[in-house]
Amino acid sequence: MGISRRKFLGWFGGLSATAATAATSAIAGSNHHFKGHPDTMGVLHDINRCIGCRKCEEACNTVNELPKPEKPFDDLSVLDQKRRTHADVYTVVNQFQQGKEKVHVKKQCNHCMEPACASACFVKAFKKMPNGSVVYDESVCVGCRYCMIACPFNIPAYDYDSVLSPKVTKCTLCHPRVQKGLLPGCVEACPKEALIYGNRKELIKIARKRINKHPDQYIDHIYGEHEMGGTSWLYISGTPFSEIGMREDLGVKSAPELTSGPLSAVPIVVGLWPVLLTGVYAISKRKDKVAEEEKAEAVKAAENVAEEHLKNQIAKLKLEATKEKEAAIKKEVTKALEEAAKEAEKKAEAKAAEAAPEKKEDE
Amino acid sequence: MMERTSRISLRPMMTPFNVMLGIILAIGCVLTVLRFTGGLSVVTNLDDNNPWGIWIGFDLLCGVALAAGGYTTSAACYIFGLKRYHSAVRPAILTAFLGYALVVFALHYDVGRPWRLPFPIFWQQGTTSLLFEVGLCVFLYLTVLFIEFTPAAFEWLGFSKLREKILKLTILLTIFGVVLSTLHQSSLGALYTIVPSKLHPLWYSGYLPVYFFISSMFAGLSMVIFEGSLAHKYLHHKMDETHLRESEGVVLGFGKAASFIMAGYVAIKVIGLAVDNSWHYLFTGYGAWFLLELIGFVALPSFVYAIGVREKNIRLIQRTALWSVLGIVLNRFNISLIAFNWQLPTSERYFPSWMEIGVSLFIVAIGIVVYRFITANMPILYEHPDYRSEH
Amino acid sequence: MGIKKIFQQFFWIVSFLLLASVICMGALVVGNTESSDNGRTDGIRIQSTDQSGKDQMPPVMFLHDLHTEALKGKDCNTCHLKSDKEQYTFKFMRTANFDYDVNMTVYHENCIGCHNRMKAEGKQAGPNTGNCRACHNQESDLASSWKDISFDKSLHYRHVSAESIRPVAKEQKDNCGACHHEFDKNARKTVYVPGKEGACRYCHLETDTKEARSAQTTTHESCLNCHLSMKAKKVIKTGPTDCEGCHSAEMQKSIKVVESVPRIQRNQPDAVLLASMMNKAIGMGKEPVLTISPVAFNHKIHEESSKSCQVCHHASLEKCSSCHTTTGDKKGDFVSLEKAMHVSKDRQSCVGCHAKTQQKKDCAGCHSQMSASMRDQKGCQQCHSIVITDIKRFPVKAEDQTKLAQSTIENRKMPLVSYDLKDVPEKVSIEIMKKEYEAAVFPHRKIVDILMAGLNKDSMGKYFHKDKNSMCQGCHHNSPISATPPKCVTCHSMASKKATDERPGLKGAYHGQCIGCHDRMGIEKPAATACIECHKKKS
Repeated sequence: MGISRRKFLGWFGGLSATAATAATSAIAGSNHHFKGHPDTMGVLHDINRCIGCRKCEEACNTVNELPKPEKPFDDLSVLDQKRRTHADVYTVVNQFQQGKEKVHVKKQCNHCMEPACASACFVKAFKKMPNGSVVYDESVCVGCRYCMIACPFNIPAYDYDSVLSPKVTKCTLCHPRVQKGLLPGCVEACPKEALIYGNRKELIKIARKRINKHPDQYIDHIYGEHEMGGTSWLYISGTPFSEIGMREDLGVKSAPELTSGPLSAVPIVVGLWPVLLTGVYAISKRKDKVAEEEKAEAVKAAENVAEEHLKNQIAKLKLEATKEKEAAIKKEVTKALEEAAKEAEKKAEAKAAEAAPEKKEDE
Repeated sequence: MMERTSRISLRPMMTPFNVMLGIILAIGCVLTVLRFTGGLSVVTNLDDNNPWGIWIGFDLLCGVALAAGGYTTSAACYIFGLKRYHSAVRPAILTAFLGYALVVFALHYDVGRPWRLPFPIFWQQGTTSLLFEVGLCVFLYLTVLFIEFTPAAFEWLGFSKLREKILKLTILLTIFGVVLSTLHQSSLGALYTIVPSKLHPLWYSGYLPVYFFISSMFAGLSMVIFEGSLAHKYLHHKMDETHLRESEGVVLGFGKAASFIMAGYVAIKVIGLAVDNSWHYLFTGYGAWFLLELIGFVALPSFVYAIGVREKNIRLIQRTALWSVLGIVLNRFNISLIAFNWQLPTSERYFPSWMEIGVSLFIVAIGIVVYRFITANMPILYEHPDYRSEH
Repeated sequence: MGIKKIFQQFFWIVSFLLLASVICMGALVVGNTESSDNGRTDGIRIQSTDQSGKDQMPPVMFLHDLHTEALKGKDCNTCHLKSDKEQYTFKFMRTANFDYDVNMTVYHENCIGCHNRMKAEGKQAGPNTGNCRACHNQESDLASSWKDISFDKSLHYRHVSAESIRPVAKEQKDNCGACHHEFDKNARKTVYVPGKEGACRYCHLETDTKEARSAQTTTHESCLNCHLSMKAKKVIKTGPTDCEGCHSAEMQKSIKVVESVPRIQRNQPDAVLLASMMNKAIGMGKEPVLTISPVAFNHKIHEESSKSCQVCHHASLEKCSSCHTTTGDKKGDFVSLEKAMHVSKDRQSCVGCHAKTQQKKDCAGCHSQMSASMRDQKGCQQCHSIVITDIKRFPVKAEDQTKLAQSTIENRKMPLVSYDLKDVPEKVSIEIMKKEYEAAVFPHRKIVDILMAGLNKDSMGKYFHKDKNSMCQGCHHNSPISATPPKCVTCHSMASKKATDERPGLKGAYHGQCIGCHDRMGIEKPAATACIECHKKKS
């Protein structure tokens, strides 16, 4: 696996540059705080005023040219069931029983100041317009439905029935109408002015005034002022919000704030990991190399020792062999001498024996 | 190696397992037609409250987590220099490559307009989205895996010069792969940080990205052990001496590593509970389920892994690997399906339709079939004789 | 090898048991959520007030009626000791609160002791020794429907007129002394002082004080002991002796209400001249200066229309200005006289009580749409009506002031409110939507007739709407009072515009006014959603 350092760094820099451009910029640790577009509009929904006539639903259906539903809009028996927004149903009115009274609430996209859907969409199909509407661009939507997961109010609905052109559906705050100077369809249709459209800051003031004017008729809270970072759709009510299907445990952190932590970690990983991993690689390579060298040295040392040992052995053996040889020679010489002596003795005796018998003959 | 005969004889292929695979593949094709002629409502139980079902919960989340063996094994071998795991690298890379490829394939079923899948990368980038992060990194990582896989294919096809060029890139690709894996494994967890109101407090945490990343590590390691055990049983004839010799070391080493990492994971999960002060939730039904997942499917396997490694009990480690893999699947299911939308009434909760399950099985079956084909023909479980000296 | 295998098997068994127990624990917890009752009235929370910071068990929710039911036939002295005066005290097995350890011992020994004894006798009993958390359970699931009982004039009269409640001393005609007393500090006992009777809560406050024990202790001791003794004497109609009898909404509804209660005799005035600023100056020996016209206050009529004296005399039966001085005093919690008279939120202030009356169905149609704290200058003169032309002629002596008040009151005329036919059109035809709908015909006169009938039923209504044109202000608001007030469209624009202030457009004004009024007056027909009733489609 040979690759020169230069080549490696070259490749590496190129890849890092590519990765860095794809990295997101998230102002995670800063103190920045989005106060909203200055002219953002909104709608104030006075739940005390709503009578559940469903004229808003009808107007929405007409203005957006949506398909007519099975049950007509003046059929109020649908209020017996709790409904939610659905494909081609941008808004619904729900009915709740509070003791002997009936309370009605309209439910639709709240057009958050920092929308979760816009933050979640990976093709920027949702956009928060300066006039407050959160609009959806069908032409780029891939249909991943992460916006539906992300929305804390469970508003976006999907066209599961369509094969080739399924889309996400939700209230648009009548963005096209509003740009022409008209009121949103539902606001215009409401007979009780339970919906009023105007500058969001103004609406908050109006809501406060209304609550102060009739403190026994309203809960002292404007829902949507701070929830999920603030929404363009504001609600005031005489009934506790949690009893009319509106969650009060959503907190005030907007969705982008919730994900800014993980997002901001991305560039750090991209910057730091390659350094760390290369470091580990370098260390492990170096470790291997040193291990090799040490092994080689150890082998050599062992060889030397073995050689020394061998030499000693040979010398020893040689010495022994010499000694043995000398001993053997000595032995042979001694043996030969002994034998020679023996022979001599034998010869002498023989000679003596020979001499003796001659003497006897003389007498 | 399969013997090439003049006629293709089908009889040896008609094992019960293959027949079952065949049926699943056939049904899968029918379901594919249904999905793309009838739309999602015909095939799935998805609705407006539950837009993500098992195609995301299992095919995407589990698929990506269990394909993490690619980066863990290659990191162990090439970055940490643990050469004794070398024979495990190619199978792991193959699994990862097939895994990610099938994840992208599965996405084509789930997403409303699959032909627009390149949009977020090439047309309009939603850089505020963690899903963009996942998509981009998966796309890049799939490319990396593909490149890492090609040497095996090139050895089979005989493109030695091309193979050499690519092998020079190994360490670079490995590092890039680890970076990308860290990013997308953690971002899959971070997807759920946007919905504290919908995910049960025991599973929701600011540390979700960390949890997903760490759990992907031992998911990958366990998956390598588990698949290795399956390969040993059914593809033994394809394995060469090196592979067989090193396999025990892989099981022991990966088992030890997994044991450690799982212990660390349990610790950071407990720390997460302390940080969010969610102890009182442990005394509810969901709490018992959470403890089952954490203790029964992470802490206990971690302990049993350690025992297996100490006793050098290969069977025990292999069983524990399956146990851990099930734990990962349970964790991903919990976060995406069971603890998600926990506050909705039972009538509004989601359960997959048999057709969704059928498509998921179909995708797994494709994976098995392709894996078998590649390991049968390409030098994954053995070294190609022409290139043996290079290793 | 054998030992290793045993160890492994042992390990698997332990793991399985752990898993199983976790699952069972979960099931137990899930299955343990009891369904709560409709609400009980007899829950008494026993909570230690130990300051030492020792680890304490959660409070105990003790159900009193449950125990009295279970121990039917047994006397109260099973649990409650009698005091020296042979009256029950209603602490548990003790006459006073001791320190933490002693209290705890008393509870444990007696509660658990009794449970143990009953269990030994084979009867059903509560939790016994060792079953700590059965009593010391965390936040109980039980909903409380305990309601405070209001001892109003009617209930008071039933006691006053009860034959069984005898006077305290032979000389007494009335039986006031049976309940009312004052504490004689020298004699260190309670004595009945005629003419000084007051509500219990004037001295017996929410908690024990140096001067008097808490309302809860004393009301239970007084009321319950008397009811119990009546029961013992077999008196037929006697008060309740269990929690539910007084404190449940249903039982409270079943208490007989006496419609016209004879006036309580407590030497109270019929009419009072409210002129505190001037009286303050007189009291200091100075010349009175006219700051605001005095009020001739009709005390008698207010007595008749109040549920009890305590509605206004919330802390004592003295006059308001004795605590709520013109500049504010510690006795009156530094609430000045002006605030005490005019704060619209509290029932005990004049304006506040009148505002409460405006919430009646007959009045709410118009009044609920108005601001709660709206006061205009003309309104002041409704009460501050005595015109003083020459301050030197202002009566200084108390009797003269009373006489002035009395005569002013007698001269108050409260004729029936009416209108001139020419001022009120019979029908008003609203043709704004004439393109699609028939004209909406508004039966103007009929509505004015109905409202006026409701007004004339009430003396306060007649008084405050002396100016007959003031009634028009209910709908023709934010304009000067006149017999020909402006039409709605004068101020409420027809165009649909962005909202920049509180004022609704014409559509919202019409529907808000009409439907809002119907809603508040409880008028069910026409229903708010019955659009066709008013807007008939053009054929």
